[in-house]
Amino acid sequence: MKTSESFDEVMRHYTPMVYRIAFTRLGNAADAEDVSQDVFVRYFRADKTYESEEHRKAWLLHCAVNCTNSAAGSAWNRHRSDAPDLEQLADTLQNESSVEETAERKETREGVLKAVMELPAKYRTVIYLFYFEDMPTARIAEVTEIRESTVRSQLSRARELLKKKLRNIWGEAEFDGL
Amino acid sequence: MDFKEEYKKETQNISPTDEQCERIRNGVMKRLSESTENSAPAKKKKPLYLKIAAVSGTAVCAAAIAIFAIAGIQKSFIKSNDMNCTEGSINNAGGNFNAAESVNGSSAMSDKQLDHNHSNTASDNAPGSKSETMSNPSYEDADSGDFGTDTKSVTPSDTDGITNGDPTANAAPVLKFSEDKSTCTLTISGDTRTYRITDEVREFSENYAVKAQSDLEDEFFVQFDENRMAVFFKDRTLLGVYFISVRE
Repeated sequence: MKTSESFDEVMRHYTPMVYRIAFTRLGNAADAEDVSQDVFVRYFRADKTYESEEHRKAWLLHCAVNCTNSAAGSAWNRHRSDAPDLEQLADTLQNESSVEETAERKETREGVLKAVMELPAKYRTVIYLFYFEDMPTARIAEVTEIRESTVRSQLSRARELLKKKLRNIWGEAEFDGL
Repeated sequence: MDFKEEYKKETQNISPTDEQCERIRNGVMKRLSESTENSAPAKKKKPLYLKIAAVSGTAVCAAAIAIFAIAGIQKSFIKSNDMNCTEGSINNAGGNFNAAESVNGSSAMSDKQLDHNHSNTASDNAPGSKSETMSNPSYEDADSGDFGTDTKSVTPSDTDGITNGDPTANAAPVLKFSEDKSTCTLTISGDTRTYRITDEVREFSENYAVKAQSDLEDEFFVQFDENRMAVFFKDRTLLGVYFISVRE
Protein backbone atom coordinates (compact mmCIF):
# COMPACT_ATOMS: atom_id res chain seq x y z
CA MET A 1 0.00 0.00 0.00
CA LYS A 2 1.18 3.48 -0.73
CA THR A 3 2.04 5.76 2.12
CA SER A 4 -0.52 8.25 3.31
CA GLU A 5 1.43 11.07 1.80
CA SER A 6 1.63 9.53 -1.61
CA PHE A 7 -2.05 8.63 -1.36
CA ASP A 8 -3.02 12.28 -0.87
CA GLU A 9 -0.58 13.39 -3.48
CA VAL A 10 -1.82 10.97 -6.08
CA MET A 11 -5.44 11.73 -5.29
CA ARG A 12 -4.92 15.45 -5.48
CA HIS A 13 -2.89 15.34 -8.64
CA TYR A 14 -4.82 12.83 -10.69
CA THR A 15 -8.42 13.06 -9.52
CA PRO A 16 -9.28 15.89 -11.96
CA MET A 17 -7.81 13.96 -14.87
CA VAL A 18 -9.63 10.75 -14.03
CA TYR A 19 -12.87 12.57 -13.29
CA ARG A 20 -12.61 14.51 -16.52
CA ILE A 21 -12.15 11.50 -18.75
CA ALA A 22 -15.02 9.73 -16.98
CA PHE A 23 -17.28 12.75 -17.27
CA THR A 24 -16.37 13.25 -20.93
CA ARG A 25 -17.37 9.71 -21.74
CA LEU A 26 -20.35 9.27 -19.40
CA GLY A 27 -21.62 12.88 -19.29
CA ASN A 28 -22.77 12.42 -15.74
CA ALA A 29 -21.14 13.75 -12.55
CA ALA A 30 -22.31 10.94 -10.27
CA ASP A 31 -21.10 8.25 -12.65
CA ALA A 32 -17.83 10.10 -13.07
CA GLU A 33 -17.37 10.12 -9.32
CA ASP A 34 -18.04 6.38 -9.08
CA VAL A 35 -15.62 5.64 -11.86
CA SER A 36 -12.98 7.86 -10.22
CA GLN A 37 -13.35 5.88 -7.03
CA ASP A 38 -12.99 2.60 -8.89
CA VAL A 39 -9.88 3.78 -10.66
CA PHE A 40 -8.12 4.88 -7.48
CA VAL A 41 -9.13 1.78 -5.58
CA ARG A 42 -7.60 -0.29 -8.34
CA TYR A 43 -4.56 1.92 -8.39
CA PHE A 44 -3.87 1.55 -4.68
CA ARG A 45 -4.68 -2.13 -4.64
CA ALA A 46 -2.33 -2.77 -7.53
CA ASP A 47 0.48 -1.21 -5.47
CA LYS A 48 2.75 -1.05 -8.48
CA THR A 49 5.99 0.81 -8.82
CA TYR A 50 6.19 3.18 -11.74
CA GLU A 51 9.26 4.12 -13.69
CA SER A 52 8.12 7.70 -14.10
CA GLU A 53 5.18 10.05 -13.64
CA GLU A 54 4.36 9.51 -17.30
CA HIS A 55 4.13 5.82 -16.66
CA ARG A 56 1.86 6.39 -13.68
CA LYS A 57 -0.31 8.76 -15.70
CA ALA A 58 -0.54 6.28 -18.57
CA TRP A 59 -1.59 3.53 -16.15
CA LEU A 60 -4.28 5.73 -14.62
CA LEU A 61 -5.55 6.84 -18.03
CA HIS A 62 -5.70 3.26 -19.20
CA CYS A 63 -7.52 2.20 -16.05
CA ALA A 64 -9.89 5.17 -16.30
CA VAL A 65 -10.79 4.32 -19.89
CA ASN A 66 -11.42 0.69 -18.95
CA CYS A 67 -13.52 1.56 -15.92
CA THR A 68 -15.45 4.12 -17.94
CA ASN A 69 -16.13 1.60 -20.66
CA SER A 70 -17.29 -0.89 -18.04
CA ALA A 71 -19.58 1.68 -16.49
CA ALA A 72 -20.91 2.69 -19.89
CA GLY A 73 -21.54 -0.97 -20.70
CA SER A 74 -23.37 -1.66 -17.46
CA ALA A 75 -26.99 -2.67 -17.62
CA TRP A 76 -28.10 0.65 -16.14
CA ASN A 77 -26.19 2.81 -18.60
CA ARG A 78 -27.04 0.67 -21.58
CA HIS A 79 -30.70 1.51 -21.07
CA ARG A 80 -30.04 5.15 -20.62
CA SER A 81 -29.54 7.82 -23.25
CA ASP A 82 -25.99 8.19 -24.43
CA ALA A 83 -26.35 11.96 -24.45
CA PRO A 84 -24.64 13.78 -21.60
CA ASP A 85 -26.50 15.65 -18.94
CA LEU A 86 -26.06 19.11 -20.42
CA GLU A 87 -27.71 20.89 -17.51
CA GLN A 88 -25.18 19.34 -15.23
CA LEU A 89 -22.47 20.30 -17.64
CA ALA A 90 -23.68 23.88 -17.63
CA ASP A 91 -23.69 23.89 -13.83
CA THR A 92 -20.18 22.59 -13.76
CA LEU A 93 -19.02 25.21 -16.14
CA GLN A 94 -20.97 27.93 -14.37
CA ASN A 95 -19.04 27.29 -11.21
CA GLU A 96 -15.74 27.53 -12.96
CA SER A 97 -16.36 30.57 -15.16
CA SER A 98 -14.74 33.82 -14.27
CA VAL A 99 -16.93 36.75 -13.52
CA GLU A 100 -15.20 39.07 -15.95
CA GLU A 101 -15.77 36.87 -18.95
CA THR A 102 -18.11 38.35 -21.48
CA ALA A 103 -21.35 36.60 -22.19
CA GLU A 104 -20.45 36.17 -25.88
CA ARG A 105 -17.09 34.66 -25.11
CA LYS A 106 -18.63 32.36 -22.58
CA GLU A 107 -21.21 31.21 -25.06
CA THR A 108 -18.54 30.40 -27.61
CA ARG A 109 -16.47 28.35 -25.20
CA GLU A 110 -19.42 26.50 -23.81
CA GLY A 111 -20.50 25.85 -27.37
CA VAL A 112 -17.26 24.02 -28.07
CA LEU A 113 -17.62 21.71 -25.13
CA LYS A 114 -21.30 21.22 -25.79
CA ALA A 115 -20.53 20.28 -29.38
CA VAL A 116 -17.99 17.74 -28.19
CA MET A 117 -20.31 16.33 -25.60
CA GLU A 118 -23.00 15.88 -28.22
CA LEU A 119 -20.73 13.61 -30.21
CA PRO A 120 -21.25 9.85 -29.97
CA ALA A 121 -19.66 8.55 -26.76
CA LYS A 122 -16.91 6.58 -28.46
CA TYR A 123 -15.63 9.74 -30.19
CA ARG A 124 -15.56 11.82 -27.03
CA THR A 125 -12.80 9.80 -25.36
CA VAL A 126 -10.62 9.96 -28.45
CA ILE A 127 -11.18 13.71 -28.82
CA TYR A 128 -10.34 14.24 -25.15
CA LEU A 129 -7.13 12.25 -25.29
CA PHE A 130 -6.03 13.82 -28.55
CA TYR A 131 -6.87 17.46 -27.92
CA PHE A 132 -6.69 17.76 -24.17
CA GLU A 133 -4.01 15.25 -23.21
CA ASP A 134 -2.08 15.90 -26.43
CA MET A 135 -1.57 12.21 -26.96
CA PRO A 136 -0.50 10.90 -30.36
CA THR A 137 -2.79 8.37 -31.99
CA ALA A 138 -0.41 5.51 -31.23
CA ARG A 139 -0.58 6.23 -27.49
CA ILE A 140 -4.35 6.65 -27.69
CA ALA A 141 -4.51 3.24 -29.32
CA GLU A 142 -2.54 1.76 -26.42
CA VAL A 143 -4.65 3.44 -23.77
CA THR A 144 -7.98 2.60 -25.34
CA GLU A 145 -6.88 -0.81 -26.59
CA ILE A 146 -8.14 -0.20 -30.08
CA ARG A 147 -6.17 -0.15 -33.31
CA GLU A 148 -4.40 3.00 -34.31
CA SER A 149 -6.18 3.04 -37.65
CA THR A 150 -9.48 2.93 -35.78
CA VAL A 151 -8.35 5.81 -33.61
CA ARG A 152 -7.52 7.84 -36.69
CA SER A 153 -10.82 7.08 -38.37
CA GLN A 154 -12.71 7.91 -35.18
CA LEU A 155 -10.85 11.20 -34.93
CA SER A 156 -11.59 11.98 -38.52
CA ARG A 157 -15.32 11.30 -38.16
CA ALA A 158 -15.45 13.22 -34.92
CA ARG A 159 -13.83 16.22 -36.59
CA GLU A 160 -16.32 16.15 -39.42
CA LEU A 161 -19.20 16.07 -36.99
CA LEU A 162 -17.64 18.81 -34.89
CA LYS A 163 -17.19 21.06 -37.88
CA LYS A 164 -20.85 20.78 -38.70
CA LYS A 165 -21.86 21.56 -35.17
CA LEU A 166 -19.39 24.40 -34.73
CA ARG A 167 -20.52 26.10 -37.94
CA ASN A 168 -23.81 26.61 -36.20
CA ILE A 169 -22.05 28.44 -33.40
CA TRP A 170 -19.10 30.09 -35.08
CA GLY A 171 -20.60 30.57 -38.50
CA GLU A 172 -18.31 30.10 -41.48
CA ALA A 173 -15.18 31.09 -39.61
CA GLU A 174 -12.02 29.11 -40.18
CA PHE A 175 -11.42 26.44 -37.61
CA ASP A 176 -7.84 26.29 -36.45
CA GLY A 177 -6.56 23.26 -34.69
CA LEU A 178 -9.36 20.95 -35.75
CA MET B 1 -11.15 30.36 -33.76
CA ASP B 2 -8.76 27.82 -32.34
CA PHE B 3 -10.72 24.75 -31.50
CA LYS B 4 -7.96 23.09 -29.57
CA GLU B 5 -7.34 26.08 -27.36
CA GLU B 6 -11.01 26.65 -26.72
CA TYR B 7 -11.60 22.99 -26.01
CA LYS B 8 -8.69 22.82 -23.59
CA LYS B 9 -9.84 25.84 -21.71
CA GLU B 10 -13.33 24.56 -21.50
CA THR B 11 -12.41 21.02 -20.52
CA GLN B 12 -10.08 22.39 -17.88
CA ASN B 13 -13.20 23.64 -16.16
CA ILE B 14 -14.58 20.14 -15.92
CA SER B 15 -13.08 19.15 -12.66
CA PRO B 16 -14.60 17.80 -9.51
CA THR B 17 -15.54 20.30 -6.85
CA ASP B 18 -13.84 20.13 -3.48
CA GLU B 19 -16.87 18.41 -2.15
CA GLN B 20 -16.70 15.82 -4.93
CA CYS B 21 -12.99 15.36 -4.38
CA GLU B 22 -13.60 14.73 -0.72
CA ARG B 23 -16.32 12.21 -1.52
CA ILE B 24 -14.08 10.39 -3.95
CA ARG B 25 -11.22 10.36 -1.46
CA ASN B 26 -13.40 9.09 1.38
CA GLY B 27 -14.97 6.48 -0.86
CA VAL B 28 -11.57 5.20 -1.94
CA MET B 29 -10.27 5.08 1.63
CA LYS B 30 -13.38 3.29 2.82
CA ARG B 31 -13.19 0.68 0.13
CA LEU B 32 -9.49 0.17 0.66
CA SER B 33 -9.92 -0.27 4.40
CA GLU B 34 -12.79 -2.70 3.82
CA SER B 35 -10.68 -4.71 1.45
CA THR B 36 -7.80 -4.73 3.97
CA GLU B 37 -10.09 -5.98 6.72
CA ASN B 38 -11.53 -8.63 4.48
CA SER B 39 -8.24 -9.57 2.92
CA ALA B 40 -7.89 -12.80 4.92
CA PRO B 41 -11.32 -14.21 4.03
CA ALA B 42 -10.93 -12.86 0.53
CA LYS B 43 -7.98 -15.15 0.07
CA LYS B 44 -10.20 -18.11 0.78
CA LYS B 45 -11.68 -18.19 -2.64
CA LYS B 46 -14.40 -20.62 -3.41
CA PRO B 47 -13.09 -23.46 -5.46
CA LEU B 48 -13.85 -23.10 -9.09
CA TYR B 49 -16.06 -26.10 -9.56
CA LEU B 50 -15.94 -25.88 -13.32
CA LYS B 51 -12.17 -26.08 -13.21
CA ILE B 52 -12.25 -29.00 -10.78
CA ALA B 53 -14.80 -30.77 -12.94
CA ALA B 54 -12.71 -30.19 -16.04
CA VAL B 55 -9.52 -31.44 -14.40
CA SER B 56 -11.15 -34.51 -12.87
CA GLY B 57 -12.97 -35.26 -16.11
CA THR B 58 -9.74 -35.06 -18.03
CA ALA B 59 -8.06 -37.34 -15.51
CA VAL B 60 -10.85 -39.90 -15.75
CA CYS B 61 -10.76 -39.79 -19.53
CA ALA B 62 -6.99 -40.23 -19.53
CA ALA B 63 -7.26 -43.16 -17.14
CA ALA B 64 -9.97 -44.77 -19.25
CA ILE B 65 -7.91 -44.35 -22.40
CA ALA B 66 -4.88 -45.82 -20.65
CA ILE B 67 -6.89 -48.80 -19.41
CA PHE B 68 -8.36 -49.47 -22.84
CA ALA B 69 -4.94 -49.13 -24.43
CA ILE B 70 -3.40 -51.55 -21.97
CA ALA B 71 -6.28 -53.97 -22.42
CA GLY B 72 -5.93 -53.75 -26.19
CA ILE B 73 -2.20 -54.37 -26.04
CA GLN B 74 -2.69 -57.27 -23.68
CA LYS B 75 -5.37 -58.74 -25.88
CA SER B 76 -3.25 -58.49 -28.99
CA PHE B 77 -0.31 -59.95 -27.08
CA ILE B 78 -2.36 -62.93 -25.95
CA LYS B 79 -3.72 -63.35 -29.44
CA SER B 80 -0.22 -63.29 -30.83
CA ASN B 81 0.84 -65.89 -28.31
CA ASP B 82 -2.10 -68.04 -29.25
CA MET B 83 -1.17 -67.85 -32.86
CA ASN B 84 2.33 -68.99 -32.04
CA CYS B 85 1.11 -71.73 -29.75
CA THR B 86 3.14 -70.52 -26.83
CA GLU B 87 0.20 -71.39 -24.66
CA GLY B 88 0.84 -75.04 -25.39
CA SER B 89 -2.81 -75.89 -25.27
CA ILE B 90 -3.71 -78.92 -27.22
CA ASN B 91 -7.09 -77.54 -28.02
CA ASN B 92 -5.47 -74.49 -29.53
CA ALA B 93 -3.38 -76.62 -31.77
CA GLY B 94 -5.79 -76.59 -34.63
CA GLY B 95 -6.31 -79.50 -36.87
CA ASN B 96 -3.02 -81.23 -36.57
CA PHE B 97 -3.18 -82.51 -33.07
CA ASN B 98 -6.78 -83.45 -33.46
CA ALA B 99 -5.73 -85.46 -36.38
CA ALA B 100 -3.10 -87.12 -34.28
CA GLU B 101 -5.69 -87.95 -31.69
CA SER B 102 -7.92 -89.42 -34.29
CA VAL B 103 -5.21 -91.83 -35.25
CA ASN B 104 -5.56 -93.48 -31.91
CA GLY B 105 -9.10 -94.36 -32.61
CA SER B 106 -10.10 -92.38 -29.60
CA SER B 107 -13.26 -93.57 -27.91
CA ALA B 108 -14.55 -90.08 -27.94
CA MET B 109 -14.92 -90.12 -31.65
CA SER B 110 -18.53 -90.85 -32.32
CA ASP B 111 -19.73 -93.37 -34.84
CA LYS B 112 -21.42 -90.71 -36.70
CA GLN B 113 -18.28 -88.79 -37.02
CA LEU B 114 -16.44 -91.87 -38.11
CA ASP B 115 -19.05 -92.44 -40.75
CA HIS B 116 -18.62 -88.98 -41.97
CA ASN B 117 -14.94 -89.42 -42.09
CA HIS B 118 -15.22 -92.66 -43.99
CA SER B 119 -17.44 -91.11 -46.54
CA ASN B 120 -14.87 -88.38 -46.75
CA THR B 121 -17.02 -85.95 -48.61
CA ALA B 122 -17.32 -82.34 -47.92
CA SER B 123 -21.06 -82.52 -48.21
CA ASP B 124 -21.33 -84.63 -45.08
CA ASN B 125 -20.24 -81.77 -42.96
CA ALA B 126 -22.14 -78.65 -42.44
CA PRO B 127 -20.63 -75.61 -44.11
CA GLY B 128 -18.30 -73.88 -41.75
CA SER B 129 -18.02 -76.84 -39.41
CA LYS B 130 -14.63 -77.67 -38.00
CA SER B 131 -14.21 -80.81 -39.96
CA GLU B 132 -14.78 -78.89 -43.12
CA THR B 133 -12.71 -75.94 -42.28
CA MET B 134 -9.72 -77.62 -40.67
CA SER B 135 -6.99 -77.79 -43.17
CA ASN B 136 -4.49 -80.39 -42.12
CA PRO B 137 -5.46 -84.03 -42.13
CA SER B 138 -1.94 -84.87 -41.10
CA TYR B 139 -2.06 -88.55 -40.42
CA GLU B 140 -4.38 -89.57 -43.18
CA ASP B 141 -1.87 -91.04 -45.54
CA ALA B 142 0.34 -92.36 -42.82
CA ASP B 143 -2.53 -94.28 -41.36
CA SER B 144 -3.46 -95.77 -44.65
CA GLY B 145 0.01 -97.21 -44.96
CA ASP B 146 0.91 -98.19 -41.49
CA PHE B 147 -2.14 -98.55 -39.42
CA GLY B 148 -4.55 -100.31 -41.59
CA THR B 149 -8.16 -100.12 -40.73
CA ASP B 150 -8.66 -96.78 -39.20
CA THR B 151 -7.08 -94.94 -42.01
CA LYS B 152 -10.08 -92.95 -42.97
CA SER B 153 -11.04 -92.17 -39.46
CA VAL B 154 -8.38 -89.53 -39.27
CA THR B 155 -9.88 -86.13 -39.51
CA PRO B 156 -8.71 -82.84 -38.24
CA SER B 157 -12.04 -82.31 -36.64
CA ASP B 158 -13.85 -82.19 -33.41
CA THR B 159 -11.72 -81.19 -30.54
CA ASP B 160 -14.65 -81.73 -28.22
CA GLY B 161 -14.84 -85.37 -29.07
CA ILE B 162 -11.24 -85.85 -28.13
CA THR B 163 -11.15 -83.97 -24.93
CA ASN B 164 -14.36 -85.33 -23.54
CA GLY B 165 -13.63 -89.02 -23.72
CA ASP B 166 -9.92 -89.55 -23.27
CA PRO B 167 -8.43 -88.53 -19.95
CA THR B 168 -4.98 -88.39 -21.51
CA ALA B 169 -6.13 -86.24 -24.37
CA ASN B 170 -4.84 -83.10 -22.78
CA ALA B 171 -1.37 -84.54 -22.20
CA ALA B 172 1.34 -82.81 -24.19
CA PRO B 173 3.06 -84.84 -26.91
CA VAL B 174 6.45 -86.19 -25.87
CA LEU B 175 9.39 -86.29 -28.21
CA LYS B 176 12.40 -88.52 -27.73
CA PHE B 177 15.38 -88.05 -29.99
CA SER B 178 18.20 -90.37 -30.86
CA GLU B 179 21.67 -89.03 -30.13
CA ASP B 180 22.23 -87.70 -33.62
CA LYS B 181 18.60 -86.62 -33.83
CA SER B 182 18.19 -88.62 -37.00
CA THR B 183 15.20 -90.38 -35.49
CA CYS B 184 12.70 -89.48 -32.91
CA THR B 185 9.64 -90.95 -31.31
CA LEU B 186 6.49 -89.04 -30.71
CA THR B 187 4.12 -90.16 -28.04
CA ILE B 188 0.67 -88.73 -28.00
CA SER B 189 -1.84 -90.06 -25.52
CA GLY B 190 0.03 -93.27 -25.15
CA ASP B 191 0.40 -93.78 -28.87
CA THR B 192 4.00 -93.77 -29.98
CA ARG B 193 5.41 -93.41 -33.45
CA THR B 194 8.90 -93.33 -34.76
CA TYR B 195 10.01 -90.73 -37.24
CA ARG B 196 13.13 -90.51 -39.38
CA ILE B 197 14.68 -87.28 -40.45
CA THR B 198 14.51 -86.40 -44.13
CA ASP B 199 16.23 -83.85 -46.30
CA GLU B 200 12.93 -82.78 -47.61
CA VAL B 201 12.14 -79.13 -47.69
CA ARG B 202 8.55 -78.36 -46.90
CA GLU B 203 6.64 -75.30 -45.97
CA PHE B 204 5.28 -75.54 -42.46
CA SER B 205 3.32 -72.90 -40.75
CA GLU B 206 4.52 -72.21 -37.26
CA ASN B 207 1.09 -70.98 -36.40
CA TYR B 208 -0.24 -74.50 -36.17
CA ALA B 209 2.64 -75.97 -34.24
CA VAL B 210 1.94 -77.91 -31.08
CA LYS B 211 4.09 -77.72 -28.03
CA ALA B 212 5.80 -80.98 -27.22
CA GLN B 213 7.90 -82.04 -24.27
CA SER B 214 11.30 -83.52 -24.90
CA ASP B 215 14.06 -85.27 -23.07
CA LEU B 216 16.64 -82.96 -24.64
CA GLU B 217 15.30 -79.55 -24.08
CA ASP B 218 12.39 -78.16 -22.25
CA GLU B 219 10.09 -78.14 -25.16
CA PHE B 220 9.81 -78.29 -28.91
CA PHE B 221 7.05 -77.44 -31.26
CA VAL B 222 5.82 -79.98 -33.77
CA GLN B 223 3.86 -79.38 -36.91
CA PHE B 224 2.29 -82.15 -38.94
CA ASP B 225 1.74 -82.28 -42.64
CA GLU B 226 0.47 -85.57 -43.98
CA ASN B 227 3.05 -88.12 -42.92
CA ARG B 228 5.69 -85.52 -42.19
CA MET B 229 6.41 -83.81 -38.99
CA ALA B 230 8.38 -80.62 -38.64
CA VAL B 231 10.10 -80.08 -35.34
CA PHE B 232 10.86 -76.56 -34.24
CA PHE B 233 13.05 -75.33 -31.46
CA LYS B 234 11.59 -73.10 -28.86
CA ASP B 235 12.84 -70.06 -30.77
CA ARG B 236 10.93 -71.24 -33.84
CA THR B 237 13.95 -72.30 -35.80
CA LEU B 238 13.45 -75.56 -37.66
CA LEU B 239 15.26 -78.58 -36.27
CA GLY B 240 14.23 -80.79 -39.13
CA VAL B 241 11.50 -82.49 -41.09
CA TYR B 242 10.82 -86.06 -40.00
CA PHE B 243 9.05 -88.79 -41.91
CA ILE B 244 6.87 -91.30 -40.13
CA SER B 245 8.34 -94.75 -40.15
CA VAL B 246 7.10 -97.12 -37.44
CA ARG B 247 4.27 -97.35 -35.04
CA GLU B 248 5.35 -99.00 -31.83
